[in-house]
Amino acid sequence: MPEPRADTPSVRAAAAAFWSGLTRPSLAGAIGTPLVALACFVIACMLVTPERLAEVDPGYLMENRDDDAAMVVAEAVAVRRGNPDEPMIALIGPSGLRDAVARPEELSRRLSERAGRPVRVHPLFSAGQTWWEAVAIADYLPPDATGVLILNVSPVQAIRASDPLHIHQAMPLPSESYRDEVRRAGLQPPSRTGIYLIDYLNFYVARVPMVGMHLLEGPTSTDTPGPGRPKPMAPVTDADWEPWRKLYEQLTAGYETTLPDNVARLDRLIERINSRTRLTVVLWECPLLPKADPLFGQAGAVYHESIERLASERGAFYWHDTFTAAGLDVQDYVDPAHIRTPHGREAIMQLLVERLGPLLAESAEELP
Amino acid sequence: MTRFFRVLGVAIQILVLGQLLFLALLKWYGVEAGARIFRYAGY
Repeated sequence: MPEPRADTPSVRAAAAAFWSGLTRPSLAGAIGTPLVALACFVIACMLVTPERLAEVDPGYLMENRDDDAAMVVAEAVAVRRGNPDEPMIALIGPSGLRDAVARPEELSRRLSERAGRPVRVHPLFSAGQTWWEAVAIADYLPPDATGVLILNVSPVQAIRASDPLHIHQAMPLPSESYRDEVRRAGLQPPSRTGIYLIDYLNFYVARVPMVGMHLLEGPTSTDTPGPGRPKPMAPVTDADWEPWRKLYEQLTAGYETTLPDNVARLDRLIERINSRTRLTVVLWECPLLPKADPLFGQAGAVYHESIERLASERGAFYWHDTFTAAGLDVQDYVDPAHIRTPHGREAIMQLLVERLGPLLAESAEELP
Repeated sequence: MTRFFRVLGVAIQILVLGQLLFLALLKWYGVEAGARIFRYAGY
């Protein structure tokens, strides 16, 4: 009978050694653990970049459909990569614009068909977007880009006071123009290391638990919101309008200071677009319900006059007749600013195709 | 040979604890810095 080999390990001895290494503290563990933590951070810094964000489903970073900063960053990067010789339609604006132009891919298809060449449509929407965000987003329009830029204008955007440093926390989109505007406002721009994840760490750290949940349950849908069930109704009676009247009254307080400041920011934004790109600028007032307009009072009148003057001085179009021009109805709205019915959205689509077609044709004629 | 299994155990310990430490430091940073998701207030 052969003798057992003296050096043959028993399974029990191997398991015991493994368990001992796994559970007991050791010098190697004390040194290695923080090094692994550091390596995780370095790898995260290399992986989390705007370019990488453009390659993944932004739904993983969204708490809900209105938490759409990640979508804007991804789309802005996509815009920057675009061919400036191919005409584009870029839409920069808040959720009202998002809901009105609910199917950018369909708009692209119809415009491409009409133009006989591909026309890309870039939805650069974000809920609650102010002109501060628009400044940052516009930095991603390619130099010498051709086509049309639709920039949303509204009494709320013109009148509302904003904290510019909040933008840095809420939308992780590096932008020199944004930093210039912050300095112009007399504030110190956020500190910058040049490492994207470190510069926007707050944004991503706040989302870590949510990302974990999304990995298990699936990402938040990025589809444009529908009418909702039961469908919320737009305000109709005076009682319905009362909360909105109070909200607008609150927003317009201090407009004498905030409005000129915001409009000046918009003016500089358009000047930059005109000098860097070959885009035709359209200041589009995504339509509020007609009853909302008078609720802004004198602030509303100053707003309209300011935008008209700005459009005239900067050679931009100002479309502020959409409610009537598109044949919209109160029933198309779920609140004073958001259109969510198929009828309303199709009406907007047809109006856009009708108005953008000639602008794109003119833009094409200007190409060398 | 038992040394190999001990080293394997230590390596897995380091990897697991290192990643947990990374997440814990992120969480701590988030609390200290007040990192939060800004919720949209519709107008």
